[in-house]
Formats: sequence, structure tokens, C-alpha cells
Amino acid sequence: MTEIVDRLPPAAARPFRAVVNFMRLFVAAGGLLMAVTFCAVVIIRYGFSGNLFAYEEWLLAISFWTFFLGAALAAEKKSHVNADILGVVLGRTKLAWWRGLLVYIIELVIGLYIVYWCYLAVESEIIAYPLWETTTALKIPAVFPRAAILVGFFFMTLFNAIYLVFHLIDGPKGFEAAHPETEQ
Amino acid sequence: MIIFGSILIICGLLLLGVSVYIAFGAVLLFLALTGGHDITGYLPAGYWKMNTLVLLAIPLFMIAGAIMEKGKIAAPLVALAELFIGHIKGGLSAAAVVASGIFGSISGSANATLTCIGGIMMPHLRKANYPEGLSAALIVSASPLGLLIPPSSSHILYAWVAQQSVLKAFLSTVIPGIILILLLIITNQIALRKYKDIKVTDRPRDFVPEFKLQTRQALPALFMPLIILGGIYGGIMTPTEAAGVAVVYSIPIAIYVYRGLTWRSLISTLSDAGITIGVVMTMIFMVLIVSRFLIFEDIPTIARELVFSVSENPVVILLMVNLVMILIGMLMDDISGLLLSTPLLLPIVQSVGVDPIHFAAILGVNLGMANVTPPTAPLLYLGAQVTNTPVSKMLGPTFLFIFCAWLPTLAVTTFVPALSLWLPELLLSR
Repeated sequence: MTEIVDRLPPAAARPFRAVVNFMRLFVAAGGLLMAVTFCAVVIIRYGFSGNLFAYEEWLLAISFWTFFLGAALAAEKKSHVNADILGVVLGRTKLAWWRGLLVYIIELVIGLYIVYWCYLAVESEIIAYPLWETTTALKIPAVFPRAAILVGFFFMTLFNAIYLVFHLIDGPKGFEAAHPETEQ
Repeated sequence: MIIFGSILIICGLLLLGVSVYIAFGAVLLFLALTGGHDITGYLPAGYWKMNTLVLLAIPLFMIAGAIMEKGKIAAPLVALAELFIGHIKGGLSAAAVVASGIFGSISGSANATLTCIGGIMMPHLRKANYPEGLSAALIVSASPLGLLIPPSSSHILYAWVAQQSVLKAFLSTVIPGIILILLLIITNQIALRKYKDIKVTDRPRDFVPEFKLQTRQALPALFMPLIILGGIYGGIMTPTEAAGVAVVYSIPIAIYVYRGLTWRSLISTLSDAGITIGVVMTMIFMVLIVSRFLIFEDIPTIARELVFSVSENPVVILLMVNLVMILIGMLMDDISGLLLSTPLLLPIVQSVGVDPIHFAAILGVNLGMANVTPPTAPLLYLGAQVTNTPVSKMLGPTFLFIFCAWLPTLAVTTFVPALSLWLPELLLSR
């Protein structure tokens, strides 16, 4: 399925598989919901001379979950954008393994830092109850979409940490063997 | 100190191979340490900036692009382009460029354009003995037409950041896009002169019936830009609504008309698109926070003073701005580049009399070119996979297209403002 689920022991892989499947489904449904909602807005406006009351409030909240769960899935698939210039130059050598290790460590440290400030922001909002910041019409608490950012970065960092562990387990020799030289 | 430190961190980490969003996270750490900013303000700052319907157009266009890519919507467009110019030497590769322009007007995405057109055209080109590296490089170089021919996600983003009209920003790159199409075709024709064994397809004996047939097949796909652009320019829909309608329209077209998708594969297409959306939106989130805190530190004024200390000549300043954008584009993706360079560079160019819509075109061409310029060049690497051609074979021809087509297009777009401003003024001056 994916590298993480494939390499983890079955007992540990099961919850990961469930989480990843849920995320995939949510992200697909969220994207479709966005499209259908905007289509409905146009149809209701011109077909029924009406409007979809305060749709932007719930749609944007769901969109945040769609975006950041999608980002977490991207970390799980190692799809986040990077300029892997050194990776191409170094090929699959021992030096490349050390570069990979450095990248994983930096990503973990900065990832934890991001999770930390996301946590502080969400925590300060939760503590403020009942004086929550809400949307104007539907009174959706701002903490709901903001929690998506925290959850997204948490999973991104978690997946990066797991890849760091895999990288360490592989070691330079395993790294070279697992990634045979291919012509770009 | 802050400006140089931030640049150093971003460049260093990107060159090392760290993800773009993490590189911006490191800048935020640096800003917190040096500027004494309250880190609990980071999340709300990004959230409020992103909490707008305008930005939803970007994921929606990405979904539409993904559906069209998997839905084989490009095939009839390619066949139509081939019908007209496939029978002359170099015609097949010219058809690929034209088809990229047409498909760009449907999908608004360079990635979708490259995957669709590259996947279809490359086997045809190989079969007709077209040189592999040159053809793959041409397809890659033409794919950013998806960013230049409206609708374009990056223009929506630019218009939002710069507080400009989306419609005018869309139109600003139409003429540069056409110039680029012509220059790519001419450069390719010249490069093909030394290849003698290229086969050409026969012109159909009954052109009119064949034309009718191909047009009928391509019509549902061609209807898409009509809905999107007609809806937007007719004032019927906002760009975000048009993107939503485009997604809903493309689903039955991909499933029932072109039969490239099934309901089951639609779900995996949507979730794959969701991953790409997640990547882009995370970068947008991080860049928005960074740019906000850079503005707090008055970095745009410092950058402006820095540029003006070198020269006050508008031509020199525009050259410097272009150079900076090329460097930014070489290191990061187009969305991050746009979000970072717009607040920094727009005040500089405006102070030498450049119209913000003209700058939209300059930025659009720069970012399009950056997508194919090594070392980052995401489209070049994607193109290598799509066309199954080694990057080493594509590098030389890619630089040929950059020097002979992209750079001249950038030069005329930068120094002839009428090319970007004439169409918006003509159509939207009411």
C-alpha cells in the first residue's frame, strides 16, 4: 500500500492503515463537496433566485480539514515539494545517506516546532471558552478549522519521524541496496 | 540581518533538499528568535489569511485538472491539432505545443497539461522518428502554457495578494502565451532541420468530413473553457464558482463521454488530487505567515532601498527584478515564489511606473519559465517520467527552448507593457 504501512509490523500497521484510509476518503469527499457546493450556489442563484445561506462558513471549515489531511497524506507518501538537487548529484552513495539523515532530522525538529506553536494557539483558544471566536452566522468556533492545522502538522511530523527511523534502520548499506542506481 | 538571514536559511535548506514548507518553518523559527515575535500568533495569522473563498479556486482547478488528466479529455484535442498540422515536417511537435495551449485553457494547470499532452504525444513523436530529447524538452517547455493561458491558478493567487482584478490578471498573459507558442514552434522547426528521417502523417483525403468528426469528438472538451471563461467574463460566476462548475462538468464528461474514468477510479483521482492540494495549501499557509512577518519587519521597504541603491533606472530595476524572480523560481515552486515575491517586488516595480497587471504578466512568464529551469524544475523531472526520457537527454534542448523562446518572451513581456495591458484594457475597460 505505502512504505509506512508495508514496513511496520502488522499490529502497528493496522491503525496506520485505518487512519490513512480515513484521510484518503475524507480528502476525496471534501474536494467533491467543495465543487458540488459552488455548483449548487450558481444553480440556486440563477435557477431559484436564492442563495445558499452562509455556506462559506461551513465550507471553509471543512476545506481546512481537507487541505491539512491532504498534506498529512503527502508526508506519508513523501510527496511534499523539495528541490532535491544534492540528492540527484550525490546519487545513492554513503554521503547521500548522511544528507538524507540530516534532512530527516531538520524536518523533524522544525516539524516539532511547528506543531508546538500550532498547539499553543489551539490551546489558548480552547482555554478561552466560552468566549470563543466564532463565525458570524452559524457560530462555528474558529478552533474547529484551526485544529485541522494542528492535526495536519502533527501527522506530517509523525510520518517524517517514522521515515527517520526507517532511514536509521536501513543504514548506509541498506540505503544503497534499497535504492539501486537508476539513470535520471 | 533579518532579510539576509531569511534568504540564507531558505536557500541553504532548499539546496539541501528539505521540503519547502519546512524551510519556511525554519524562517519562522529564525524570525521568532531574532524579531521577538509571539509564536502563538503564527497559526491565527495564517488561518485568517487563508480563510477566504477566493483561495478555494486553486484546489478546485487542481481537481478539475486531475479529472481531465485521468479522463483522457486531451486525446481529441491532440487529434484535432494533428489534423491541421500533422502532415508537415515538425507539424506533429507543433501540434503538441498548440494542444498544450488549448489544454491549458481548460485545465489551468501545467502539471495536468504535461501529463496529458506528454503521455499522448510522445509515443506518436517517437514513432515518427522525432528526436527523443528535443521532443520531450519541447513538451515540457510548452506545458507552462497552462499557467499563461487563462484560467490560471497562479493569477487568481496574484490578484488576491496584489488586490487586483482576476479577469485582468488572466488576460495579461494571453498575448505573451501566444508569442511563446510561436517561438517554441519556430525554435523547434529550426532544431529539426538536421533530422532527415522524420516521417510525416498523410493529410486525410476528405478533410472536411474528418474535421467534422474530430471537432464533434473534441466538442465536450472544448466546451469547458467556454463555460469557465464565459462564466467569469460574462459576470455570471466568480472564478471559484467557475472552478466548481468545471469540476462538476468534467466528471460525467470523463466517465461517460471519453470513458477515461469510472466512479471507482474517480474516488482515487479525487484523493490523489487532495494530496497535491494538501502540498500546495500547506506551502501557501507557511508562506503567508512568513510574508506577513517579513512585512512586520518592513522588509519590502528595505528591499526597495537596496534595489534603488544600485540604480534608479527603470530598465535596470526591471532587469534586477526579473533576475531575482528567476532565482526565486529556480529554488522554489511557482506558488511559493509568487506569494513571496509579490509583496516584496510589487512596490518596487510600481515605484518605477509598472502597472500591477503588467507585473502579473511578468510574474506569470517568470514563474512559468522557472518551472522548467534547473535545478528545481519540477516540470522537467515530471516530464522525464511522463515521456520516459532521461533528464540528461532533455537538458540541452530545454536550455535551447529557455534561451530561444522563454527568455525572448520574458524580455518582450517586461519591456513592451502593451502586450500585457492591451487585451485587459480592450475587453474590461467598460
